[in-house]
Amino acid sequence: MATMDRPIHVVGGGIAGLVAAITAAEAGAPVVLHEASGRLGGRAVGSAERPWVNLGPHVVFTDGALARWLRQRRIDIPMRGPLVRGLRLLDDRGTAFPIRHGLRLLPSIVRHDAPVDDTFRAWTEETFGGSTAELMCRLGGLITYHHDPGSLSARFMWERYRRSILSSDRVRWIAGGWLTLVDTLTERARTLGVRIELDDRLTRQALPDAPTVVATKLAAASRLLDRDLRWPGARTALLDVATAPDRGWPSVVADVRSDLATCCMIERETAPDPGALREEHAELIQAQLGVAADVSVAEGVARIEDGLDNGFPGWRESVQWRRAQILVDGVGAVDPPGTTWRDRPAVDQGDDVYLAGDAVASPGLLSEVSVNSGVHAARLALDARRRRAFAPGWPSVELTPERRLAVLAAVLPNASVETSTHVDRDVEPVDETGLGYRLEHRAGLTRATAVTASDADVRVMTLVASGLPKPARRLLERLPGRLRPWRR
Amino acid sequence: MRAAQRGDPLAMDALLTELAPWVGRICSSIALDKGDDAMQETLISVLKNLPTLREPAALRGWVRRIAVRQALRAVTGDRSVPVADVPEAATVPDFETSVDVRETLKKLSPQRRAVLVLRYLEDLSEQEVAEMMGTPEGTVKSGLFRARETFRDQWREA
Repeated sequence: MATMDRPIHVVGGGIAGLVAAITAAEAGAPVVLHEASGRLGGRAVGSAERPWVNLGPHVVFTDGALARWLRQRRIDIPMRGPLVRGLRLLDDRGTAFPIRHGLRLLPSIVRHDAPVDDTFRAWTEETFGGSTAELMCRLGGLITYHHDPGSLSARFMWERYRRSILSSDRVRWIAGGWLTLVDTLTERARTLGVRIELDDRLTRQALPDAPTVVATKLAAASRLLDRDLRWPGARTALLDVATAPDRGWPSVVADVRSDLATCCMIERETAPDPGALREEHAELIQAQLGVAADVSVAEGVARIEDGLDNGFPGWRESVQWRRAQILVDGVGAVDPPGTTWRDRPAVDQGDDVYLAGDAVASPGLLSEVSVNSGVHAARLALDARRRRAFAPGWPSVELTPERRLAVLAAVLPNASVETSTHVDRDVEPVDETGLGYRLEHRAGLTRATAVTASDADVRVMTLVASGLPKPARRLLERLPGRLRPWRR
Repeated sequence: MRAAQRGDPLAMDALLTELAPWVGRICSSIALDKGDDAMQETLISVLKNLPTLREPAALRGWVRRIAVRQALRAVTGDRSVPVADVPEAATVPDFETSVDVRETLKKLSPQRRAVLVLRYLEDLSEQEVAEMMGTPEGTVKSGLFRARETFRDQWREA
């Protein structure tokens, strides 16, 4: 089949582009990865002279899409856990181990359904009361890099709050910086036969007539595709400092003093990862502070330095080098009240063009959005490629998640199907596509879920099938996942 | 494939992923607006009867036959469309055209659409198409001639 040689094109070699390229190549498709700059990695690599020094604090969550995607492929990335004893909170009373604050946050460990339409500030005040709400909103800065996390959608912030602040044991640092991840993914892509074209900036005219994944920042995608692709992001001041070694310093200082609506996070990267600076014998301190549009680099950095003075005494005297900058829309999408991730620029842009990246319509936190959308875009591009291979121009229909479920319901023994409709558009996604289709199987019990979103509502169809008699089936359904894991 | 025949739900699901784009193309080319129903019925029929398929290599020819039958049934309501056995075609043609394929297909009868799909989309020989549709080869030839004429007219209009 001559048409089967036609490659899938991926534009942009950041995490989303690499994930998309690898996912497509794993399915056997030829892939061409176009990167405008001279090296892969996008915002996951630091400066030219020290690419291993991340662009600001970077973490991975062990329960998230990136860690899962790596696990599924048995890609081993060395990661370091948090150093809880080195954690400090800086508030108006000074720097301390966060016992007092932990107690204040205690009510927030209860599960709640946070509304999409309210601001996080309004909802937390109503649910947890003034001082707890205030602290929760400020701490939101740790995970959003935004100057006013309390002004964002309560649903958006609550998910992030629960997965980061309340589950800080799941936070990991990549040893050697995110460059380690980029290098490993590049190696994997090359092994799979992905053709990597560096210094290859595509223009609208040069866009190939082939299934294409555009994995650039939204602004670049807008120009390339000549359409308006926008979503609110954060503006963040970053300060990196290398100093003489001092082991007495804390590992993380969260500066939540009341002059800020957010939190200034200061991490000593060399605490979890002593190799963060490679050959250099020094401490690496990285700090981020979400700042409003009218705040200059100098103002932002001055405020960060004030936090450093409180948490890292004597740092000014031993600075070996420093780097200060403001990052705009550099840490993914933030969802304002009334919106969810489903409302962001869609992965499927029509005409066999698909968007991937950290600001598109995919679930997850920070880089997880890139991974989920990269996988989703690659799958759609693969489908498009199969369609084209059969015959371009001929009519075609897709197997929607609901149709797929109906097929299985007609075939599997003792299948029962339930459908529920949710007016609230943010039903929990069941797979990385966010469209939602998942089939699970364990010990004779099959469970499939299809989530379909329309403008008005979200429909969830669930199928349960088993050849076993009813009592045994009930028992199996209740078995904890750890005893008999679901196969997917 | 073997696992799907044994009834492993995960293997069946994987087979759906594999077959769906191809089956969807055949079904909607013949049944047009009823293509999604025809695809659903085809895939149900395929999974149900999978254990009866003795030779996995024959899968595509077998699925194609079911797809054509279900597509014709969906659009004509006829339950007795004869679709006989045909060997697997090795290649798929590059049937690229600038005309609106869908609009042109609408002007043809369902049977003629099926003939066109089998000949050009599935690259069967005229003899194979005749066998599969249960019609004389001459009918297939004249049908294809008419279909090509319709495409040509459409192209002139465009």
